[in-house]
Amino acid sequence: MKRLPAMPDEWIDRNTVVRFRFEGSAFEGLAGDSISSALWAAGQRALGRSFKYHRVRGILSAANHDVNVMLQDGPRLNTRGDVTALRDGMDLTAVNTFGGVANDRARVLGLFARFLPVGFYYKAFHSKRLFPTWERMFRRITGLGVLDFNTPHVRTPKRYDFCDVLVIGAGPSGLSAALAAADAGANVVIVDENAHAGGSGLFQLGGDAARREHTRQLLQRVRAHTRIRLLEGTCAGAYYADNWVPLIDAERMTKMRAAAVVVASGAFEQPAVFRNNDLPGVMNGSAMQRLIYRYAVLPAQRSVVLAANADGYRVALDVLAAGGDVAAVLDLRADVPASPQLDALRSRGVELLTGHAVYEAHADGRGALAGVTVCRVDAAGKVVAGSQRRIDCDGLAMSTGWSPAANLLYQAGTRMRFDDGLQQFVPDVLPQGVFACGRVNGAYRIESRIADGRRAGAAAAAHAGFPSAIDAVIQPEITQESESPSHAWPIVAHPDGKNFVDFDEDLQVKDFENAVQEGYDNIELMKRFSTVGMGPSQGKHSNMTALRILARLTGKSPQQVGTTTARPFFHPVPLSHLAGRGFSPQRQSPLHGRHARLGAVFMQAGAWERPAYYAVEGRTATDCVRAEVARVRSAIGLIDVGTLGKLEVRGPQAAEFLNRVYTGRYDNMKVGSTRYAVMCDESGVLADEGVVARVADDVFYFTTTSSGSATVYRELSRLNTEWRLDCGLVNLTGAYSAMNLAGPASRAVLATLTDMDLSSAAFPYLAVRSGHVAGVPVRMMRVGFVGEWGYEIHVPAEYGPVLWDLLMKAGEASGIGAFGVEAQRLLRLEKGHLIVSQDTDGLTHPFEVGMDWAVKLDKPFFTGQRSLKIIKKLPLKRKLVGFMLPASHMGQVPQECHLIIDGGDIVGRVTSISWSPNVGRHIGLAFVPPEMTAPGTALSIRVTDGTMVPAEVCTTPFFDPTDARQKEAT
Amino acid sequence: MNAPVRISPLFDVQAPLARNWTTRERMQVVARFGADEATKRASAGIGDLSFLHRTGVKGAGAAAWLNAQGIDTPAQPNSFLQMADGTLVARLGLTEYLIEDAPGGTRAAALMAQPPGERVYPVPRFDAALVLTGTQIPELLRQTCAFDFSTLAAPALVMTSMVGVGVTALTLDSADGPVVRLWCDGTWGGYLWLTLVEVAGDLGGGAVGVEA
Repeated sequence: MKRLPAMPDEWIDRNTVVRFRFEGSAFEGLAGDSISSALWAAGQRALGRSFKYHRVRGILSAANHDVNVMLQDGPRLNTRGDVTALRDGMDLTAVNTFGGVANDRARVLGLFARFLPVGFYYKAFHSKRLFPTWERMFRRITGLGVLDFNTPHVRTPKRYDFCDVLVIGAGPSGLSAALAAADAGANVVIVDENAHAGGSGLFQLGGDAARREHTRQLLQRVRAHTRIRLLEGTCAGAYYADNWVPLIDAERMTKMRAAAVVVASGAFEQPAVFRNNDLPGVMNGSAMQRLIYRYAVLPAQRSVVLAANADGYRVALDVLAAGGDVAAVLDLRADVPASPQLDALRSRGVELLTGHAVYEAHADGRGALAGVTVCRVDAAGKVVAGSQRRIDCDGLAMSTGWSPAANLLYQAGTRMRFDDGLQQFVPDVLPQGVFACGRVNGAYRIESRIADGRRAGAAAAAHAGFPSAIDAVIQPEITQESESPSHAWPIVAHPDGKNFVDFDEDLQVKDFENAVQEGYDNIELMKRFSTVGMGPSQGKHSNMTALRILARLTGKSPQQVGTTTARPFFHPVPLSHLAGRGFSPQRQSPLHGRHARLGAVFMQAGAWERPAYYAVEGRTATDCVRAEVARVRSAIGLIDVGTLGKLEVRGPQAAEFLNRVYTGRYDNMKVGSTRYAVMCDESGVLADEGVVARVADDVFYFTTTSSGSATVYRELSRLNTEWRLDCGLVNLTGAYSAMNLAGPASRAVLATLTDMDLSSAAFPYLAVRSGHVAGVPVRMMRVGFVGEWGYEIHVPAEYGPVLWDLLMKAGEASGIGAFGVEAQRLLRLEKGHLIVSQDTDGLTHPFEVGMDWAVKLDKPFFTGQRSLKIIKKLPLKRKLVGFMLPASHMGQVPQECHLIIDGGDIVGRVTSISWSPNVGRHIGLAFVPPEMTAPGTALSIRVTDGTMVPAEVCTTPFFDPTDARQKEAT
Repeated sequence: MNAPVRISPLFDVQAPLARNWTTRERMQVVARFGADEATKRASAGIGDLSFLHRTGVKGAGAAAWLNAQGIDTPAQPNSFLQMADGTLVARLGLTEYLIEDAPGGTRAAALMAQPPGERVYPVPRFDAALVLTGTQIPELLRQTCAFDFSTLAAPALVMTSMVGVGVTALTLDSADGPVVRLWCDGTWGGYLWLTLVEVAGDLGGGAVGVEA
């Protein structure tokens, strides 16, 4: 484990040794190391294998983009070695190898590279018949890591957070922005994905310690500022509307809402493209600097630097300062501007080769870098024949250009433009409340980044309501650079290829040439065909180069080629973070506990949990339901109907209000009566139904379906606001409990608990009465949804459980029992009553389901009336009818949604079906064409396996067609 | 016949955890959940105050009608006041009010017994009513609600959504730290209570009984 002398801002703790295993071998690192830095310090160069050709790979960026160094860490898969902090006891293996990094058997794929061109998969594996075979094969040979299904659930609670100004990136420009905004009075949060803030200000030094001082002072002030919260190790993963930015740290996702956002996310250094540019030892210049200054690791003993900007010269000086040798600095540019860095390198005797590039890199016996062949290139980037020359080295730094980390800016809707001078896309028009500074804004010199940060911070603070004296307008000198930070063509052709553009997918230059040749000549098509930018790094080190290649091949400018969209999240986020703690609101009736004690098996009904049936030991679910049905028909049953929507409208125009929202008439109702109610939408589609009870001249209490209650209340509130009628609407759904006592014994049982007159004369069918039952204030309706004499009893929610208990106790002698939704569905089916949304769909109008009687077209107005008047004149296309299976039916039973077939065509579908013990047959409801509605019409229902089941249209109700059960026995 | 016992909307979810029960305002409530309730209360305590009587009215005539019944009304929407006898009056919007009795109070029942005036619409309320206490309550709110409570100077009233449930929240300051009152439709109460207790558990808190 070799380390350089202590670096002033190093991340490692030299007193804490961390022991771990990699690929079966023991290693030591230091606390604060990344996995990659510890391995590199230990002399390990092969850190992983590439995805497609299984080529040996090492460090590329050391900046969270080394996607070929992804490791299995126990149950954690795809751990990124270049940024993941080392932990004691880690047992790491590289993902995507067959036999380990050193002897990966799949490296043989590299020999077949010429047979695996771009688009190979699309062309070779399109056969549907063979697809399952190929899928299995590719799942075996690809995939990143092994998923352990026994991994314990990791709880990652999400949280919300808020600030005036959110600054993304804590480099020199971000720190300056945070200070400017906070000094103006804004509460600031500044985040940085790195373990420690400071960004390139603490590692791109060029051997000049003074450059570090700028950033250290900024950082010191930020840490001390009372209005700034600095969050390190936190990645701003996406941008959503209204400055909503999810922040990802090791533990959780924080949903940050900011009044203004400053994007100071910097730039991704881009690899140069030449043959074997992927060998371990070839890395971005900034990666070398990170190794030196963060981890005190010398990247190589003898390095060559490939430069095209001042940053490359700083890399060479940093390597020298760390004690490494620099064999040569190659510069793609023929003319290099004078600079102190250039002078310093010359004075150190470093060979400078202008107008030169790397033609090819060479590997040693273990696959690591052993030397490079350099060459002269002309102004167009073409290799000058015969100019090649070999230089031995074990490190090559690539410093030829940058690509802005503008992913969040794109997501925010920023219009970007390509700046030819900078050779970079920069923000042209930013959305309101979003600001950019630093490298992402085209400012590269340390002074200009700091000035740009101050400007952006002040502007963001002003946007958030904290103006300051700092000029918030971009001054031209801020982004005026003395030289371009990026080279327009850092690409060298080679007849034998292996000059990689995308390290995720092993895409070479020729792949892009082939793609364009095949017609995929715009950026979106090329992306999908070649898969460039679709790997784990999402093109952070390949999209810009691919764009340059496409521009040159198609004769367009980079601006004309444009960029692809970086979708949220632009950086991978653990699914556990996205899932977080589950919030799935559940609504429970006040009687929920009573149901649970009775053995209820619950079902989801909208947001509600309702008892489907009450389980009895030793009985099947079907038997339980049938027993509940039989009890209601023969004795007495009690069901919780508290999930029904319960609304009250009060006021002089309450009746007028109901007349407008329902299809029926309510102004002519007598106090104490109830009436069925059908609600349609503007297009005449049946939207909801319920019962309206007139409890006073100006007070109506009415119910809606369970699933429709919230929607109906919201819509009626809107209409009431719009119509400005003299009435008020109150939602009592949660405030009232409701239960339906039904069965031949219901009146006798209820009579033991109340002194209300329950005679049919005083309390007839479809009447509503108020009174007390067992001291509980109630509203009772005599309704017959299940076809039995019964009482729907509505009580304040806090008394619901007590009344339930009293009714169950009072009914014991009569054989009372609770019944659930399944029994209720069968009971109502026997009566031929439909259920909205089960027996209707999003196109059903009342005339199709036999509710003509409930639609009063002669009213002045009701919602949907205009449409229904038109529909009424048109011929019906379908109608809901009752049907039965033959009494002798023994085979498969049709289910809801099974189709009715006539002459080979679909002519209808089943909406409800069940075995009726009282009818002795399977009965159901179905939509059929009008010509098939006559009782006795034969139907043919196709069940799942294709068998046709015969049925016959019949009249409804199936049970008690004369409603004799609602009448006094004579 | 004796007046029946009132049941809290949180009864079903509290019963498995309850250690002792007691009665408040004819409602069976949990006296104690466990031995360490003082610690939980200081960190992130979740208590049930559903036993307090409350009612509501809405409509253009609501304020005048309440005033005529001797109930003071807040001047601004989304604000509240506490009357001398401890009655809490919250103005939930332009014309909607929540009236909650202090322990032993009878104003809510008296109001419900009165015939409503012109353009006054009674809103019977049998809410799940919670109280959150302790130093970790701001963090609990951050994990459960998208509203930035730090922008409110306590005392303040806000209607928002918490873990997907519509709530009325009232923030108060006390010597022991922040106190938040929550009201929600009782049928959502069990889910809200369980979820808050789970989050509070991560923060060193949990359910606390009325005697804690």
